[in-house]
Amino acid sequence: MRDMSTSRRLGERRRPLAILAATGLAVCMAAIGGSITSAVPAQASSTPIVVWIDAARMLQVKAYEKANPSVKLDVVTFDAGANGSGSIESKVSLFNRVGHGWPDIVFSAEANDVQKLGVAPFNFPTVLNQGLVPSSVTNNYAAGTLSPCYIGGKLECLRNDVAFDVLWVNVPLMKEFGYTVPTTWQQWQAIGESVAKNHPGYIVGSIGDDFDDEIYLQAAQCPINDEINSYTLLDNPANRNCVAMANLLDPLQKDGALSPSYVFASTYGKQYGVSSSYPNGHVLLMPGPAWYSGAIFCGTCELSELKGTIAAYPPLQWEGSPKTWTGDVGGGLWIMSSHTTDPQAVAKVLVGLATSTVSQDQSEGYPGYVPAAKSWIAEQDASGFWAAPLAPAFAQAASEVWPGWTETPWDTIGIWTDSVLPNLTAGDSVSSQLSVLGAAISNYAQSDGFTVVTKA
Amino acid sequence: MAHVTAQPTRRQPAARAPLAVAAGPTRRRRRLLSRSVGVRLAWFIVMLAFTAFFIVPVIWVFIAPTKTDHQLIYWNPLAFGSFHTFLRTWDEIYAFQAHELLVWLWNSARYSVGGVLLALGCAVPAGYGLALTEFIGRRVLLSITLIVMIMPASALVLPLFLEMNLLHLSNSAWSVVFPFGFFPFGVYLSYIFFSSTIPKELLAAARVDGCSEWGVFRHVALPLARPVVALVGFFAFVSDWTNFFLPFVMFYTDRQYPLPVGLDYLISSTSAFNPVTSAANSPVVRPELAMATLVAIAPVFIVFLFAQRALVTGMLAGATKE
Amino acid sequence: MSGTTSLPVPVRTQGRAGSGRAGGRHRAGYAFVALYLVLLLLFGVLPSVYAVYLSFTKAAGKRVSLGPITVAQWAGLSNFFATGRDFRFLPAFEHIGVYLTIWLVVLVVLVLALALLLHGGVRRAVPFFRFLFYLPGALAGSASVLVWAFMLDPDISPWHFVLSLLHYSSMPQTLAPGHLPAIFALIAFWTGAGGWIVVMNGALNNISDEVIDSAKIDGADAWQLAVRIKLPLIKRWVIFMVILAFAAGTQLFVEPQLLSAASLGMVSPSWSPNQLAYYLATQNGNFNYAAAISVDLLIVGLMAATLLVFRSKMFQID
Repeated sequence: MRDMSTSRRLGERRRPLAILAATGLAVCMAAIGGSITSAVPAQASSTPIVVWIDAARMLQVKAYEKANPSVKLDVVTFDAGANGSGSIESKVSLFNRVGHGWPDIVFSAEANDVQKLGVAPFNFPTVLNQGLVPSSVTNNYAAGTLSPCYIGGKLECLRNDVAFDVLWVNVPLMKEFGYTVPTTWQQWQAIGESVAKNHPGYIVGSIGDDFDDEIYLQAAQCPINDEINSYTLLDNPANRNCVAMANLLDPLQKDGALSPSYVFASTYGKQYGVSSSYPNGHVLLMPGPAWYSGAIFCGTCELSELKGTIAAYPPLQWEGSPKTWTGDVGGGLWIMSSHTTDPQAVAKVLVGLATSTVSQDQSEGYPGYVPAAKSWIAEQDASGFWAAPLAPAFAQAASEVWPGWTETPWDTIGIWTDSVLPNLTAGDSVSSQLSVLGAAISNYAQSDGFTVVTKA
Repeated sequence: MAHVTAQPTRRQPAARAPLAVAAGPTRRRRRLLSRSVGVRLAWFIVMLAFTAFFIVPVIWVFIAPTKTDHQLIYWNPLAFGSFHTFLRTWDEIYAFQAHELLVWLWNSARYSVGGVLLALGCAVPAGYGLALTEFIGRRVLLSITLIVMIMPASALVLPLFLEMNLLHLSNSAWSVVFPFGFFPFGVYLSYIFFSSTIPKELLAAARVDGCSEWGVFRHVALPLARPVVALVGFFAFVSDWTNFFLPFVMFYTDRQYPLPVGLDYLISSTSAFNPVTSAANSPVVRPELAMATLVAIAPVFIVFLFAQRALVTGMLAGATKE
Repeated sequence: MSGTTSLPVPVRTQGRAGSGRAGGRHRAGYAFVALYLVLLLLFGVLPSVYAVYLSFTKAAGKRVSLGPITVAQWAGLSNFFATGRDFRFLPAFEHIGVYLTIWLVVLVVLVLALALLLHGGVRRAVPFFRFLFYLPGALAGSASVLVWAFMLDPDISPWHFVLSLLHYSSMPQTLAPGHLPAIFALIAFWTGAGGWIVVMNGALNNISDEVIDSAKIDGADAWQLAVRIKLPLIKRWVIFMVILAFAAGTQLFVEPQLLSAASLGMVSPSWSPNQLAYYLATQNGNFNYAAAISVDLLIVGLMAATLLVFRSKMFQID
């Protein structure tokens, strides 16, 4: 170290070492970098159509690709905005800033995504009902199922599946206890009170879920999230519909006829599923979305219901109301980008994914497109698992979703979950939470630039 | 230039490596002050209690893939399942979307290795320069480093994305490797190490002997810097391997994801954490998630095992002591 | 900084900046930091400056051209006022206030206690325990979602007996809003303490034996040795840790996000200010509001850092 001549000699010895190091570094960099050109997907019509989906739609897209080998798709998977993550919005705003990178078709798992994406600063979807999608397609959707896709009069997406609420019924248990299947909410409440008194341990529904506002309040026509005009929200938690439904639920919540747990809690199956002392489970009745068929009631699902025990009945009606209304929980959207260079070709793929039987037969949920839905439900019923065919109740409920609970840029499920649910867990009644929910929705609405009114 | 004025001389650490040889083998060992059995026992009890706190969840992650989803809920949380189930769990997660887990693993490896090499090449000389050379703006640089470390990441989403796009690097590996090379925490570690462990006399002596500044660094400081290279390299590796935010912003195709982003995507596709929109009968449930978590954390464990030897001596310059 | 017997340093007499030898040292100094300077500029300074620029300009509105570049319209403090009035802003800062109090105390006290215990402990066992304490650091972010979904659910957690002692019988009860700051501090400690213990242990190892032995000869017991000798010698490291822990605490993001995923949404996506900033950037596409909140957090962190750095003279090397 102190001898410069030594260090010079050391330097010479180090030269081959340096060359080796440089080579090694080059090899490393090649491995690290992979292909730098793996970046931005191009938009020209001769290149593949870029489709962003979540893992659950993979089967649909694969089936479509197989049936249409001439169509080249570049499939990318992501979370599709699940649980309100906003991934579509965040990517679109970044792409908007640099002017490229948007996918051609995006699947969104959030039913309200188009309401966000269709306005500033995103302005992402393209308008479909001005020539890209024929009315022969849009007319074949059940009434109201395309409403989450409309902004003003413009259709900006196609619905993939719909998630209306029906009444799930445990047929052998109803027979065992001697009840008849209720057709109104009031009858349902009476059964609940009777169950709490005479058959404790059994339940007629759940009040611990993330989406209970869209099971009970929407069905009651509670005007707490009603976009009556552009950027004007009607939010009246004191409306008699809201109060009446809350009053109906309170005693059931108190007696334990409604389970306080979230149906997707880890131990829900342990608590309410089939066991040796409860060979048909604990669930007597349950108002809930159509996709419970695959999520909790199937044989291998967490409630482990037995074959032939569960049936779906049409949604409950409010006594004295002229029409039956029900809620809906979810349902995915197919969105087409307004930045594509070949809209006709992309629109064709969009329609195929959303409505073709080959794609929709693989759908996780009940298709929104009626002809595809008929085929889908026939397959479900053919399995023979259900106590009675699901088709009649499903077909009826599909057009009974109350449109007064509008899809808005904010997520009402998320708001219920973090504003109301902790209080219900702590023991507060549903009635006490109406104003809490109303206030929270009002805050989000105003933050998004809406005017909130309490009278239409 | 404030440091040129008289300052109370800071205590200098005793000269290490070359002089330590002369100091001989009579270094006294640290011991527990009291060798009573009671104190030792108490020490072990306290240590084991904290160990349980830190380790029980990790043990759980190792055991979880040996059980089925049903067993995971119904059995005792720390009960062992079966090796057969473990293999089946591996098959399921391996098959997910054409072995995507392994693609993510490979991505994590190359981004992290690249990031660590760049961070070392950058932070070690910088820390040395800040600690042991003088130049105008030294303190400013240190202050800016600290400030930049405190800037919340959510504000940097857009500017980083714009920058990478300007450089035509978006969605490529370099869009994360270059930012990974920027490791201010490593610069601070290096700065504090060099300023407290390398005695100035050593450098002064080397300079007096005619070494250039680069020579001083290479022949005096670097050989003594093995501990800080290990420390900075290790922390850079863990930081890069577990970084979620940067790759999440930079990549928009799943084949480019490293493990943290891939794992986040995996979580959103299982019914356990996304019951509303995920595939109801996906074979990927909680044990498979645990298996994916194992794949994500195993390399860190392995690197730490190997880094232990270097970390054992911590910042002790030169001689290994364990 | 780790004190031992001091030797007078002749370095100072070797010239002034710009002349001869010292000038060469100056230029060499720049060479050593050159690569770091480039990266600092690219990934530290420029994005931060851009973020500050975003916070003072309007999201929408006319673009103004200043010569070759176009800049957005000046917004003054309107972004700051608008975010300050957001209904989630004040609650988020309240949450952080409670969290920081718990977090800083727990982190500093326990990390130093464990580092000291390791330093003075049974020699052979120390690497073993240090390794085990560090392991959770590998489970950062998404890797620990599954873990905490189980640890905090009394029905399926290995810590079942602890949770039942606290009378929590379901996960929603564990995650009652009042418990959240403590739970986040717990998770952050579990993940981060090991790393700091490694750093502090390393700093303690750097204290030469002579100092310790001479203190023992002077009759110091374990407590005095720890508090009077060891801690002051690693003061710089402790300050560094407190600054970073404070900044990291005010910018809490990962723990509430992962717990939100683990609990299927029971934790609000804008519980902490940093989450709110992220929410505004991603969900609303409003990068300017996000930048404003980030600047708020930066100022808070800077005030603490400046205070600590100047009081401890951390940047002086001589």
